[in-house]
Amino acid sequence: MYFKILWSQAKQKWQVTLLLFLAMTALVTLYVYLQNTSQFSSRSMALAMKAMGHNMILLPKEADPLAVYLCTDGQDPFSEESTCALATHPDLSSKYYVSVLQKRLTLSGLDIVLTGIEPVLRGDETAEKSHPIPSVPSNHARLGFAVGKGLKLDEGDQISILGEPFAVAEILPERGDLEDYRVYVSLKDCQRMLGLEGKIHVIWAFMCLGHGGTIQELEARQRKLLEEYTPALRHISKMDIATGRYTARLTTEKSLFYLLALVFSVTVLVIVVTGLQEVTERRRELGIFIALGATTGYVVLLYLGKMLIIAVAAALAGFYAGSELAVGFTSQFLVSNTQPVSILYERLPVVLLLTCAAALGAMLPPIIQLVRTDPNQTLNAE
Amino acid sequence: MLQTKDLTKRYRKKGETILALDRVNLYFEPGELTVVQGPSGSGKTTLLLMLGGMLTPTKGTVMHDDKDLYALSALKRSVYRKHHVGFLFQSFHLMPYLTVKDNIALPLALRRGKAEAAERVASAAKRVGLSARLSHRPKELSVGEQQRTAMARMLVGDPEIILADEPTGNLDKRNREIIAECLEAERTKGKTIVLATHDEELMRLGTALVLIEDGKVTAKE
Repeated sequence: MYFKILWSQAKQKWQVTLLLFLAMTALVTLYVYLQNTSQFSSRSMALAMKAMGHNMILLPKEADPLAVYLCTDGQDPFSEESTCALATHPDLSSKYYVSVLQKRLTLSGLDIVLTGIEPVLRGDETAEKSHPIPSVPSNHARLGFAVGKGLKLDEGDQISILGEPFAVAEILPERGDLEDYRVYVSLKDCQRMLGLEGKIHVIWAFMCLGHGGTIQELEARQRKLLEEYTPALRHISKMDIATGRYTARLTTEKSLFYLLALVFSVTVLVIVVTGLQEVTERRRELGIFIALGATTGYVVLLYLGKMLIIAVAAALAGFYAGSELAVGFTSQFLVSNTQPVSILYERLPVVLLLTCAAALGAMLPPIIQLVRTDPNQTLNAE
Repeated sequence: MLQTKDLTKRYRKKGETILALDRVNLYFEPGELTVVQGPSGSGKTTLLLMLGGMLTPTKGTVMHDDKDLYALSALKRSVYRKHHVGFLFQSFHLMPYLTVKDNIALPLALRRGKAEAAERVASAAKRVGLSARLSHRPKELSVGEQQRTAMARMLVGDPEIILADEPTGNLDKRNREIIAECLEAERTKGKTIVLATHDEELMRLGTALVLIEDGKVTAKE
């Protein structure tokens, strides 16, 4: 009979029931959509950061950073094992490393930077995510834009570097900086040509913003861990672009979550107002129930039970709608190599719990009014 | 047995104190139908609500089988109403969204007694001539049928105390007769009936008469 009364009451005021259901569904839809989009935009942002290039360099404590920036002979070679050692620490925010050996040379009258590279992926990262810097096959060279243009070379041409022949694998797009003068070869080829087997000059690292907290907290944490894991190395981070992007993303997310707060407030208001109205309209029923031997608790449970059922239905509908919206809309502009935008079913229990808690919380003022209503008032007013 | 002891009720309304009942001392025996009479606003409904454990007195109390009703917790008073009291109001007070059948079954549902519910509902409906109207909602019934539904709802719980407040106030002769027959039948079964009414035909059923004026019992017969 309890559920029959609930159903009959909901059906009797079906417009109010529908309004409550739609308001709560809209709230849950927006919440789930934002949550889903936020998670996948975070993944997408990691890819965007990878595309921006390395944002940290590691070199020996005593090395002169200027020599490394200018690729002069003053660089201090160290063991390439350091890169592999770094890649064994999954708690670091950096996931992608490149061992780099570099030397300035003159090739056919053109100043170039011979750069031997060996990309190293952190141990726990899957290969399908791919390293932002692709490796160079042996006896192949990837030329910076200025080198290709200056030496009039195209893909497939041959080039001789320090007496060794290399096939041009790719001409890189113009960057407008030192990168345009680099000639990338494999690290092993470079070490052999320069007589520096097992040595590198610098480690390029890509720090991702995936560990939570602010970007400042993340950087401080990374610094602390690196001092512990690699006491012989110094690290210099270049977080200005990342910080800009991080701030932009934070601003967007905040504005969206303020929108969510606004919708939440409106929904709570709808629940409170309709609840108060219903308690007023059903005052006579309270008197009848009490006269028939029901307790006030039973009548309160009728209100809460009805709201709970609407909340569960709205949570399920909103979860599905929000997830489908996220999949349908955000998958068009968010890019992820490993996990496409999808429905996050593991979040459903939390969504259900939050929706029910919000709905029941919003019912508090109507319930207080109900409990304070004198059941005799209407029975006595014959 | 139902008894009131110095039953007093004062209301505060718009800053004014209204004395609804003033030191009322009454006995209501099983098998007795007590007619309570008095002008409008004299305190009849207040008395019935207090006898039903619905309204806490300002002073005095109501005893049921030597138990002080208002010394009991609100929960225990609801149990008293559920198992011992049946109300019958002038305005019927049916649940508009429930069918006749569900309205009649409501007291049993609140008792959580399901075993004989269907039979008892059918029997109560038959007694008031509503067997063919069980699937209708109150708004689809005539005034008389609505009051008969309320009567069936009261009868289904087989209460030992029946508190009826102007139950025939809005009814035609035929429906008044049905209500009167039911009340008389219940009295002969040994029920305690307290009936507030101005209906002269109904008053003739009374085995006792109480006159109330301005909250005071002015006569008992």
